[in-house]
Amino acid sequence: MNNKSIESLLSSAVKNAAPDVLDTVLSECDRKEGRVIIMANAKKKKTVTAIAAVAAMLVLVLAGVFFIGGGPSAQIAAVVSLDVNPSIQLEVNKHEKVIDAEALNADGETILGDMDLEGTDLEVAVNAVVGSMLKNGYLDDMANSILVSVKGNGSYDAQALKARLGEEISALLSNGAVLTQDISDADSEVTALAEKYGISVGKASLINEIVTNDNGRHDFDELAGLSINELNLISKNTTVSGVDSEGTASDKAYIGKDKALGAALKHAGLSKSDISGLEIELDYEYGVMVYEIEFDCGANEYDYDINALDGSVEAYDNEISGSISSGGTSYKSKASGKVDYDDDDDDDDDDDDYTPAKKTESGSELIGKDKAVSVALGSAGLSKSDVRELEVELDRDDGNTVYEVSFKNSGYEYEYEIDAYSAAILFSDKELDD
Amino acid sequence: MFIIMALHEEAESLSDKLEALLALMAQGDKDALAELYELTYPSVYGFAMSMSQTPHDAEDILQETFINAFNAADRYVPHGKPMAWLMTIAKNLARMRLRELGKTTHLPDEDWSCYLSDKQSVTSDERILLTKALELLSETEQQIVMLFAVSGLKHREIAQLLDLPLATVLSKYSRAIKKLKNEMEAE
Repeated sequence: MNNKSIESLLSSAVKNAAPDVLDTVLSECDRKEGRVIIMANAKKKKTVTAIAAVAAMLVLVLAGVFFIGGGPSAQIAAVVSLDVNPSIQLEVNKHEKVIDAEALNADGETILGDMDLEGTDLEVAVNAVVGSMLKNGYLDDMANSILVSVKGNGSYDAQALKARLGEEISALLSNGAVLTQDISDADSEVTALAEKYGISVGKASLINEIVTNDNGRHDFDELAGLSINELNLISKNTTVSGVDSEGTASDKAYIGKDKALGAALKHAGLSKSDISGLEIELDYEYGVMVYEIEFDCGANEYDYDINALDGSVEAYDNEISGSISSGGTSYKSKASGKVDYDDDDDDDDDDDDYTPAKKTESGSELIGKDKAVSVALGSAGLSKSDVRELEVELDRDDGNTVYEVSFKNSGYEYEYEIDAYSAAILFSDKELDD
Repeated sequence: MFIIMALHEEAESLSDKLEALLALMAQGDKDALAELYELTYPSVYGFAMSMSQTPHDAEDILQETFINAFNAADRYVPHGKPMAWLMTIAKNLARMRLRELGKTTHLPDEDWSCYLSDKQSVTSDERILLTKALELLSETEQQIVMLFAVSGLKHREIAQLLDLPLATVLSKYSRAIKKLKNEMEAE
């Protein structure tokens, strides 16, 4: 027995079980007077906030299947992808029923969980997915950006759907930042990039836009692993066309411009009143989000990359009349002695709360996420294809800069901390995955 | 998909039909009421069953719903949801009734199984399914299943009517129907 046959049996059962009261009804209606009329009440004002309503979506554990669109008419009219970090792709037919819902990455799998969205209305599915993203902490105060990409097939009006979904999601997320784009015309190059990096065509298209327009500051490879919130923040530095943006990407996860500037000034031995021509923007460099800070002090131009998470100095340049300090040239400026960055500081300072700057030419370099993953996998005796929910992130732990790598394999959850410079395994753990 | 489209169109034309009948009822047309009754009594009754302790209560709600619908028809604002409107009346009646009845306890299962076995028109499969539904499902689950399967309301409309989050409706529905399916397969 399937759902449909249960439903129709129930329907006929109720019909057959119902008493016939029509005669009573008709005769009662003659005596109209004096009767209390129970009305359908006016639509109740919603007291729940949008977020709460979405959060309630979380309960969604759809094990059953509603209408399944099968057969030849289940043609894909549009493909909607939702990227946050989790990437979900929904294929819908012309009635906007979901034909297929697919997670495009491990986070996406977490989001979809046991939800079976096939056959549901697109709107319902989008609600459920966004709700699950909120519940699972992928969308919050600190990272509030979501990318909605619509690809229409044939004559399908992707623009309209895009606009509608954008509005809907903006309404669901108070203080969210919603990027929408119509990718019906995405070229094969973008599609190929999406495939290569295992990301949605929508995300690939956004990254491609940024890379094309940012004067070579980034390459695709570098940005492919970023979350939409990070990309949204970065995209502010360039002109990105074809993407509608609603709301402001949150930078609350980061230390903020003031603190970043403070760190740079402290490092330079300057105070705010000494400098001019200040520019600060969030960017992604050296595998981390950084505040790029530029300022002048007299004839000196300073250029800092301050780690946006912990305020450490990732890199800096100090240029006087064309000579660049990062080559190790000793020079004197107002920042006398403070601008060199060898580890054996001669100033023996007490302001050693900065990590040594990891200027690319000056010694240690991050091993990179891929290397960290391969070290962890190697230690576990597994290969990338064996594991799921692979996550890696750069973090600081007990003063060490580490890659935290976690993944799952046949009932076990593995966690590693890999030294981000030496690739040494600092910590490993394997436990039963509950 | 063809079936879905057909269902969809059917539901839409039913809504149109019901709205036309309500418009006539608003002018006191009792033939329209009779026609509306014929088209919707299973829907109202199913929902009434899910909200009632006894067959007697369900019958009262069924009856009162149509009487109230007739009297309130002139206040119906057509917006394509006549069935939901009807169900809201039934819901309000049931709630009022429940308040009146207070905490009187019944032996609902016994009542219903007697009622159903007396009904000649009900097949044995139907009786089993209905009894199981009333026995095993929570009241909310019953309501959701009836509103969806019998009344043909959309999940979204059900959510609105019962003041529940859509996700709750979806998950409760799928759980309930699964439960019934398992029971029927075990029979």
